[in-house]
Amino acid sequence: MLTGCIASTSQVNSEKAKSSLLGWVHGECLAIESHKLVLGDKITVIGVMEGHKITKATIGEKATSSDNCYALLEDRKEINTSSGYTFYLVEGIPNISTFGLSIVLVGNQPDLVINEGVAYADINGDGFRDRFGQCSTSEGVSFYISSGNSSEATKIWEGYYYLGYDSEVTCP
Amino acid sequence: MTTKSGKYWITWANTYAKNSNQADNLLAPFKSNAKSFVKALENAGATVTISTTKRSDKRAYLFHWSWKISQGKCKTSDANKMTGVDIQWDHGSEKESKAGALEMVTGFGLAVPPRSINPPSLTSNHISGKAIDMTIKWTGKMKVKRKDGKEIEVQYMTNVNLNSTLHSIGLSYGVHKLKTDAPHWSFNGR
Repeated sequence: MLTGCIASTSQVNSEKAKSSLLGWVHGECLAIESHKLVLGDKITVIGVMEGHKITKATIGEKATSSDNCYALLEDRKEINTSSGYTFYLVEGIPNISTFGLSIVLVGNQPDLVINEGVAYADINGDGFRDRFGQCSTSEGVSFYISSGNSSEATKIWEGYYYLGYDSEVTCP
Repeated sequence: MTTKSGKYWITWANTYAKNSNQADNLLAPFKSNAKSFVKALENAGATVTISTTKRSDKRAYLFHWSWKISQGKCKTSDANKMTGVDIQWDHGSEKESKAGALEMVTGFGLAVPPRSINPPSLTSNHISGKAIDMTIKWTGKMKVKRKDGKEIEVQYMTNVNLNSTLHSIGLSYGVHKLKTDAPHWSFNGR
C-alpha cells in the first residue's frame, strides 16, 4: 500500500519537501503539489482564519469537479490547476466549514502549537518556530509559513489560491 | 419580476453574468496592447492560456452584496439596485435575508477572511476591461520581441511573479505585472 511512502512525521525542511507536504484547503478540498497521496493518508489541518485551530484528518478521493471543490469552480479552475496542484477531498473533520481557509501538513508535526491564536511549528528545522498565516491578494489568497521576527519575517513556504474575483488586498 | 436572494442567483449568474476570457472584450487601448504582448509570447514559443479578461459587473454586484449582507456588514436596504439584476435582498426578516445571501456566498465559493471588512469589489481593472489573467508556459529559454522589436531572452521560472525580465517585456507593450497574483497583468499593474 502506498501509504507507507508518506512519512508519518513531517520533515518539511527542503523546497521539494515543502511543496509536496504542504497545501491549503478551502471548504473540504485540499490543493497540494503532490499526486501521490492515497485514500486514508493522515494529515494535519491548521485553520488559519481568526483564532487558528488544529485538527487531524485523512485524505479522501481526488476532487475533480466544483461540486465539492471551490478551487475548481469555473472562474478558478484554469489557474489553480495550471499552478501544479492536485486536489483531494479532506475527510474526518466534523463541521469542516468552520475551519474555513486552512493550511495542511501531510503527516504529523509534533511541535505544532497555538500561541495567542496563531499556529507555530519548526517547519524548516532551524530550531525556531515558524508562523502560519494567510492574507488576501488582489484576486486570491496567499497562504504562508514565515520564519523570523514579524519585522524581518521571510516566507519559507507559500501557497496561492486564485479566487477569480477582485477583493481588497490585506497582504503587506 | 424580482426573485429573492438565494441559490437561484448562482445559476442565473453562471448563465447571464459570466466573465469573459476573450481578449477582444478588453477596452482599448489595453486590448491591442495585451493582444500584441500575447502574440509576441506565442511567436516566441510560449503557450498562453487566458483565463479571464473582462469580468461581469453584474456578477461583481451579486458577489459584493451577498457577501456584505451575509456577514452582517450592511442592511439589505443599503444594496443599490442594478439594472438587469432583479434581485430582492430583503426576505422580510434579517435572519432570512442573511440566510439567502449566505446561500449565494456558499454557492459562489466566496472566501470570507477573518477580520475582513472588505467584500469582493464592485470596481476593478478587470470589470473595466483593463486587466488580463493568463498563464504563460514555455520550456527553458525563449526569445521574445519587445514592442520596439528587440529580442530579449527569457528563462522560464516557476514563479512568474519573480520573472522581472518577462515583466519588462510586458511593460514595453503597456501590460504591467501585478507581482502578488501570478496570472494578473493590467494597464497599470493593479
